[in-house]
Amino acid sequence: MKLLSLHIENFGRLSDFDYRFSSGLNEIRAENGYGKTTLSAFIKAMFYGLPDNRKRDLFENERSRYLPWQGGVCGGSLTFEAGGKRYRVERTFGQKVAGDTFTLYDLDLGRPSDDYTENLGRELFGIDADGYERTVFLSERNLSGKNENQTVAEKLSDLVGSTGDIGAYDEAVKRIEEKRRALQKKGGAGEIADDQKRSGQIDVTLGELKALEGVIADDKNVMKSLQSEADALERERAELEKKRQAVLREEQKNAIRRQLDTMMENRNREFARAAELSRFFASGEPEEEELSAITAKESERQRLTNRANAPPKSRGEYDVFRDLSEETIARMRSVASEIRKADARVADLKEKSAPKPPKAGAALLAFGILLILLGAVLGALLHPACFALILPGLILLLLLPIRGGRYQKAKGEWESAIREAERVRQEKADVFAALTRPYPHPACDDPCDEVNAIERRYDLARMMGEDARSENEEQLRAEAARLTEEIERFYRRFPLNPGGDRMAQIRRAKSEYDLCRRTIDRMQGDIDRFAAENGVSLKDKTAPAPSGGEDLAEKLRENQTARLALERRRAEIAAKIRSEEERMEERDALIAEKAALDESVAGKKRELNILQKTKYWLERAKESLTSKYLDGTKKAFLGYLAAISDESADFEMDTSFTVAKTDRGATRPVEGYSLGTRDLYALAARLALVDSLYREESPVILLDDPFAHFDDEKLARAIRLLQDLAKSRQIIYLTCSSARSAK
Amino acid sequence: MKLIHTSDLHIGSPMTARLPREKIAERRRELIESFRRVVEAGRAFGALGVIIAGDLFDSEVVTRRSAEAVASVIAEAPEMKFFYLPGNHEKRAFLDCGVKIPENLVFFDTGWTYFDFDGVRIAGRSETAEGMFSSLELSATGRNIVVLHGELRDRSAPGGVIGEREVPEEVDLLCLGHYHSYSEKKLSRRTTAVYCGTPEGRGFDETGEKGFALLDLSEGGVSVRFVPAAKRRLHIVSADLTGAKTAYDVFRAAEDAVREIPAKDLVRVLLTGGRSPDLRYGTEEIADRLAERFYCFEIKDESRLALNAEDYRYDKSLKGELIRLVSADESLSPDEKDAIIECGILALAGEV
Repeated sequence: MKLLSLHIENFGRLSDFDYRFSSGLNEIRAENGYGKTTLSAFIKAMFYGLPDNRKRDLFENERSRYLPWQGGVCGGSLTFEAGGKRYRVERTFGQKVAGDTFTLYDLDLGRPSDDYTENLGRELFGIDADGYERTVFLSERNLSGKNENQTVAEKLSDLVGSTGDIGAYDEAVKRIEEKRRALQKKGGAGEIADDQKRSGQIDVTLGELKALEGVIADDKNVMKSLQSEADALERERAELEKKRQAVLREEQKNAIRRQLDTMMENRNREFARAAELSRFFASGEPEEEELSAITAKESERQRLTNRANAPPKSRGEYDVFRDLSEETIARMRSVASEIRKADARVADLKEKSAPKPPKAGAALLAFGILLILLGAVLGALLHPACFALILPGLILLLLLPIRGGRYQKAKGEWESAIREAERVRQEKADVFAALTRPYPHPACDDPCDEVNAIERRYDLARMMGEDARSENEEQLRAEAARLTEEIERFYRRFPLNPGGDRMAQIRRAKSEYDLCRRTIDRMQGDIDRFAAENGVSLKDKTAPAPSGGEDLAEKLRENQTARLALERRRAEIAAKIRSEEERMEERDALIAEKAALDESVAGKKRELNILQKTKYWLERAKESLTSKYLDGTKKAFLGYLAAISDESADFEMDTSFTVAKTDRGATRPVEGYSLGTRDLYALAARLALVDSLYREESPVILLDDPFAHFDDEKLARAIRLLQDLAKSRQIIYLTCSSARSAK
Repeated sequence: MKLIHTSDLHIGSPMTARLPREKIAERRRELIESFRRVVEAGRAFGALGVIIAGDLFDSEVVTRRSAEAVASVIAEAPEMKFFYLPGNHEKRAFLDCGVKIPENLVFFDTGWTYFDFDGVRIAGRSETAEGMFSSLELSATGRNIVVLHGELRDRSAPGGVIGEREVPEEVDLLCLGHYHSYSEKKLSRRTTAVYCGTPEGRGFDETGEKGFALLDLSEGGVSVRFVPAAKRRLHIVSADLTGAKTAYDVFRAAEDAVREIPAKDLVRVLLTGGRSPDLRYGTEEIADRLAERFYCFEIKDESRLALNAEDYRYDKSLKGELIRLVSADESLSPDEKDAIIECGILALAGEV
């Protein structure tokens, strides 16, 4: 690749500046402040553009530094030859990258070219701007800087190998480092620590669960001893209960005996009463027949006496009833019943069956008339169709008589029914009157009452009537006296209270005596049954009340309280054990989790170890790789050094192409030497590096007064070297001193 | 007469398979249900009794819930007799946990305990001891079954050691517990030792068929056969990655390996073989796709990087340099070399 010419429109202090380059050595000698450094910066800017305006330091901030002092468009053009073709690149620069322009022309074809993009320098040299500065651009300022950068290394590895993965090295190491840090951070953080921490927590929990096993075992032992206590309490309860039952049985027995005693006492009372009553009937208890006979005799005696004492007319009064018969009385009763029914029918007809008069008759009448009038008026005034209203009015009016007719008919029928019922009733009444008229009786509202009165008189008449006609008074009294004698004889048998109803006394006593006997029988039966059912002998006596019942009850209560308390305690412990066992169930999941975590930790530690080792081995691989071209570079360096100086010491070059000198057995970095010596070594290293980097095409080497610190001898040698180099490559040499001229 | 021989249910043990929390609880319930399944199968076979040769429970800590569940299974089969030998794990935990012991459950004590059951003498002891068989009293005319828990060795000793050479000839069946897989061993012309195994596997160290032993004792002879009874089986299968070029190839290899396995089972896939350094795949992606097909699914990558350092002799890239240097280093183990190289390649490819 070769520069042909340039035109600077405005760039730093340079404005409207043109230069034509030749092959080989191009020396530009100008005073300080001319713009030599600006010129070299322009060339670099044409290939790489200007970086973004970020750095504050003017020296570092190229964009700010090179924007034209005099104003105007900043930029220009550069023509160059590459790959056998001639191009012109034109760039302008704004305040920011966004304001920059780039155009590439194919000079051979005379039109814009897209053979290269605005990344012209990288595409052309295979190196970035920084790499360019570190290699083909040698200035006094950057000579001693570090030579290695990413793209330098890439380019070198590309020269050595066929793949560009050395460029991926930094990224690979970065990723490894990130991954490693994720696994293990400083201060004990990271995935491994997290897993270990969680595993530790699980260990603690498992330890707690293990301890819990002991607690559960203890609780189960407590349950066992509580069970033993419960068993003992149960035995005690059973014993107490047995005793209590014995006491209860005894008490029950006594209660039975007491009850039996009571029953026997009651029976004995009845015995006493029966004995008393038997004394009443000491002369013999009369049978019912005898008593009835005496009663009949008394009635007969009374009848006889009444007959003997009764006036004749009172007897005759009832003579008319002698003709009355039971059948006649029955007939009377039947008719009386029919009269009652007829009365009820009439009353019912009168009260409930009355027809109701039709309702709303007046309203219908009024509404009908209204419709007729309305129809007539509206039909006459509004529309003939309104006459139609007259028709419903007429219909309503016609309905009225129809409804009234129905009512009248119903009412007539009802009245007729009433009359008929009354007629029937009167018929019955006439028959009844005919039946009862011959028999004097008090008047009653109810014919049935009349029949009752008649019947009573009939009975009386029967009692009085038959014997009264044929007996005389003395006979009656004699008979009555005889009966009295018999009756008195009977009554003298018993110790009766004078003045009361003697038969009633006897009957009462007899009844009482009967009752007493029956009661005694019943009581005896009850006593025998009760004794049999309860297994008690009538001879048994009531034992003294058993003692200790209260004590036993108290002890049983205490026992129950103790058992309840124990049961509660057992329930508490059982619930505790259940809860503890439920907690134990999480053990499986924790063990599984811990196993997984431990495995994860082991895996991650292995991974960490591998990452660390991988990083180490990648570094070694990279160094090994770079050292392959390091030898060549070192050789070239020594060659260039020999051309410039007589140095014969041993030198070392590391993979960043930093040189160290072995001097008197010690290897020292060159920073310890004088500026001139350092520049000398750096120049040789740079040139060697350029040789290594660009084996196939020789880029332009831009030298911006790099020999400023050389002594005369070295300067001369350097100039000679420059001249030699110019035979095979284009060199642009900028200097401000004629002493350092290469011409 | 038929009897069921089971053991080593380890009810209450932690699940070693990686299961989510709710499945752990479910699996624990299934362990208890495995006991019920064995008893119901025994009933279906017409067995009159069930011999439990130890480790019914996993430890001396027996939860009330587990104990009650086991007791209810036993109580619900009153027509069967349960002969229970407490094992080295559980000792007397079940008997002493406070749950009502069903009437149809009898147990073997620390010394020889005998039960004459339908013409068969069933003897057992929960603790082994040196010379223990010398005091064993067997039926001279009928069948004899001895129940023990431990491992067979030459001579008996405490701690679950059973001297197989000391077993009397009159023993027809030596019903053993301790090992979790079924096996039979003829000790003499008449005596057969049987490990019935566990009826339900708990972790991936218990793969294969699990079930119980059905013992058939008749005048004609004694026979034993294994009856599979597990609700779920555990499978460990390998998927060879050799030759796989893409992640899909890896997935297909894993999928083919598990194709015949029923959905209700637990599966662990081991990726084996040599994988290419350029092969990219994720075990988590494979797990995500296959996990839903099974009750439990795990995948472990045991494949090796298929790399020959010689192939990279002329590779001038950083990758090639890395491979050469690492392969040549003798301080690294082969696994470390594989891991470093793979990590380095992934890092350079931006895939770490």
